[in-house]
Amino acid sequence: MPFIYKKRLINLTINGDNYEVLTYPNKTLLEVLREDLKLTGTKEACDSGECGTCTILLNGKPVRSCLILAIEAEGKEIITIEGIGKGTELHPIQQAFIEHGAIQCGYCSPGMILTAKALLDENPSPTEEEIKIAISGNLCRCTGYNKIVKAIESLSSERKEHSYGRT
Amino acid sequence: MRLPYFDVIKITNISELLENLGKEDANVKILAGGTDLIPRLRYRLLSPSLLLSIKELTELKGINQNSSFLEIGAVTTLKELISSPIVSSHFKAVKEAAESVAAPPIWNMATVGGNICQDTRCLFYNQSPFWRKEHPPCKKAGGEKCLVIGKGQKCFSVYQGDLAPALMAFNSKIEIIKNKSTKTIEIEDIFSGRGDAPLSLSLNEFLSKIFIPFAGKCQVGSAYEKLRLRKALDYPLISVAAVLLYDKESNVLDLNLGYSGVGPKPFLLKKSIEFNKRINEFPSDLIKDITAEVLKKSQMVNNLFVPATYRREMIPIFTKKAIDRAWKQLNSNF
Repeated sequence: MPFIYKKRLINLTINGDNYEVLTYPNKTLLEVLREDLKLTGTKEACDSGECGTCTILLNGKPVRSCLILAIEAEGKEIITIEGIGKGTELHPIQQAFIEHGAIQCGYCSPGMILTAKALLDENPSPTEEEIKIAISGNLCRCTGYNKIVKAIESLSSERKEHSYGRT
Repeated sequence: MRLPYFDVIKITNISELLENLGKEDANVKILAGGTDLIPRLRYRLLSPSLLLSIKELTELKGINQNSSFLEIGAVTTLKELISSPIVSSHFKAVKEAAESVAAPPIWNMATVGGNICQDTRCLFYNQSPFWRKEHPPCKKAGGEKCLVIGKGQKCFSVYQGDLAPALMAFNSKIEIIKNKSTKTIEIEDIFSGRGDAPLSLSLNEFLSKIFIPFAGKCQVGSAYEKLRLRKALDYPLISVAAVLLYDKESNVLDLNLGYSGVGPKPFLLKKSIEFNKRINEFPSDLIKDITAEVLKKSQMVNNLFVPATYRREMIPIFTKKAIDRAWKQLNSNF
């Protein structure tokens, strides 16, 4: 008897939009984002939940999309890096990263920026230690992390270099 | 790497879970946070045909308390555990252990039950199929012998869970559900001591709740220390949870030490001594006796990122670090 690989129709809410996706149950959210929906801002690197390049926001919390099955993300609000700007206008975190030299190759940046967004949404005035703990799950081989921490610090509501609101 | 094909059922209540676990010819695995299972599936270390996703099983979520113990649902996330004021104030070592796991995005996904029930690990086992095909299968992968020591019937893969030693040091119990019955056991009893089959759970049993007893009239000091190469992301190379419980009436100090990263299962060491408020430091000769006992019980080989000799040397150092911090917290109560 030939084995039957069955697909399922699922609905995903991504960056405020609804997507109907026909996919296999063993597909991860990362694979569906990148391959089915061509939202390639979220990156694939280690595939084991360590590096953080696949980080997206699920109901506002940073999670590893390489470890979540796409069908498990139904009914949840998914935010990817594509969803945080407004058209051609960069999000304040993206602007701060550019101004502080916190992006070199850019591969860690989507995950890093979303983790920073989740931190600042929950804690608008994080200390340097709190920032380092929050981004401890996002690896960067280029920058040495210093400028990334400075960029996030500049958005602290106490510093007021940028106006950062809950967007 | 792609995951192997499997079907998924989203479980919404315990009866549905039991019904699907109980099917005779089912090749079934429970999927909670997925932070341990999904990487192992990717490496083709196991190939279930069906996953039971319990992420939305609200019956097994949440932290509740009564006058005697704290009750934690197995599907409670590490983030919920870390954020709990009761865990922070009464079970500091448990909070420190949870905070030492991986990184914040993993805390949002990983569950307490999953962290306890995680599989054992070894440099020769947790590798891709491409890597492993260059060697005969190890004992844990269904082969005949351990590839680390090159002989023997024993698997030396390492239990590297962070929560278990801290929960054991607090004398925790767990509830196991099978068919329609439940049983409550000491948390140590879930670990078989066999690297190739680390849990003493049959196919249709699952861990549902964790109970941590309050210290009652005892004063408490606790701490968790973890040997790791990086400050985040790493599993413990060895780790120690120290819980000091002082009973003022009898003037007895109970010392509970939970260890992880020291063999195929975590273990607990218990000592009772007469308390002396005047001494500033925990007696060093007692730490020497304790670590001699730990080294005798531990089964470490060269299957992690640092040699076993180094990990053995670190046991007395990390034991002292954990006890010193627990002692400091206890003494701050006086």
